[in-house]
Amino acid sequence: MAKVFTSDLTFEQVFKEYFNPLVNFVNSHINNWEDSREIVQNTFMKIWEVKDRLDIDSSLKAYLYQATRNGMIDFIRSSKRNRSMVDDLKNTTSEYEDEPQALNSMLIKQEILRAMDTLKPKNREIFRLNKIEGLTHKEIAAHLEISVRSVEDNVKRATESVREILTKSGAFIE
Amino acid sequence: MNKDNLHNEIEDLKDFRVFNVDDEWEQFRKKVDASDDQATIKDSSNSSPSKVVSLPRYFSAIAAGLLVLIVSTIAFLNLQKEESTIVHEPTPNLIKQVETPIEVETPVEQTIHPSVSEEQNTVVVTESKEPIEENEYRSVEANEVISLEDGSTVEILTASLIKVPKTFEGSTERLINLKSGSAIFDVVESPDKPFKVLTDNAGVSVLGTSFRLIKDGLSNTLKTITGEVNFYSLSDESINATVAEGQEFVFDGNEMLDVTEEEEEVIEEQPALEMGKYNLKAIQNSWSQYYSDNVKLKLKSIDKDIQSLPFEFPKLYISSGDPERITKGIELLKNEFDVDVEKLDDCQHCYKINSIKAKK
Repeated sequence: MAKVFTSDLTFEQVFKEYFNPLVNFVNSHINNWEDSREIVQNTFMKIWEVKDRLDIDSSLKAYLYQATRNGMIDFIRSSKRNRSMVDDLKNTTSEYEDEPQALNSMLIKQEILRAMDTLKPKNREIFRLNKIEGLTHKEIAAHLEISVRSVEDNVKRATESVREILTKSGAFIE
Repeated sequence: MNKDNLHNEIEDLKDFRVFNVDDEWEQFRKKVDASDDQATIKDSSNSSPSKVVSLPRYFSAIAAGLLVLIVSTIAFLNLQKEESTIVHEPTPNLIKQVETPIEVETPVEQTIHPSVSEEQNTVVVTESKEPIEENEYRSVEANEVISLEDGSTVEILTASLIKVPKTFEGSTERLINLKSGSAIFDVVESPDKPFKVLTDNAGVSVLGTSFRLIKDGLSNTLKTITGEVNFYSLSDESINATVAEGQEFVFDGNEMLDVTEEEEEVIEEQPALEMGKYNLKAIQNSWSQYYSDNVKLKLKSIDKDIQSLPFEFPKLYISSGDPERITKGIELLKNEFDVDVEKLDDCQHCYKINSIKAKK
């Protein structure tokens, strides 16, 4: 049986890569950041305990998704929340997904944020104000005291850069 | 995801929260270590169930525990006393007191110096927006504007973590702490009371001006909107810059960088000049409407000549009896505009202007 975690792919690397996407995935269902963190921490704890004898049939991503989903269901049951939450969760997430869409989406978001970090400060700020904070070009122009045209150029340039970085990272399915 | 979905993913980014994975990993490691310790204790008690801790060792453990408790209580009380006297001079250490304030609402006892009135306490609201705790930070949503006691305003551009005093009375400075986020400060001038904004590693000091400060990780980006701002490192004030109006500087934790960008001059694209009528008045009107301030070139009345011109109107046509004048005029046109000019063979000193556009 081949080891999942090796010197090339350490447990720490996997933890740091997947922690935020998983917490965001959990929070999208239970809407509580602190509980979401706890669920993901506990999920990794369980994996840690069996890491040396871990045998994964599917991908590591699908395994983490499945383990976290189970942890979330356990949490909801143990916290005696509405029973229908568990049913909803079972309906909206699949137990047998090789490429869990919900987690993929969170991983893409993480990649976008990383791509944003590579932009020039001004470019990044304008992109963030427009795409994340939802400000219009005109509002940004007024805030930053630049022309609307400059804002448009910056947003366009930033979007192209982000798209290019995501393409290189393999985030897109061609 | 395919490329078309990028827009949707970006739109949803607002709800995506990023925790510091290094901190999370540290917490995880502590849990693992604690779990390992428990397992070890469990194992050792299983392997030697009859083992009993000797009495003297038991007492010395209790005594050590009590000693640690007493020392830490004294240290804590001293710390409280010190903080109550410097409540209006927050330092980088003060900022570090709340490492994850959004996630963990740690109740902090109020430490009011007897001589300080209640109004002088620091206004702090946790994420739940319950008012007035000390040494915590307010999580402010984007687009909020905070009005300060002195009339200055703080406009929050991105969700920010900020500490704003309720009053500046009794202090020699006006101090604000920005832990993260982006804000525009419009400061009312008060020569005897400088206005300071501190992040965990940089400071901004002004008398009265407006500036924008972005705190993102170790990086601090400052742009002065009006006036002049002193921007400096908290650990080494010799690393500083005077940031003039329109300038933008970044302090990345080590050095101060001038990242002022030349504003791109935006020239509205003008449509190619086209003539609707062929008479001189129409040409002159159009010319005047578009370029009178830039090009001083008179158009000769050529109504009768137009009929014989070898090109189809509406197009602009220029001619002059003075060859030098027309050459100079065309030179001037080319300097100012992207212009397509064609010399006409059939007409001496006549030029056809196929199109004129503002230079990009």
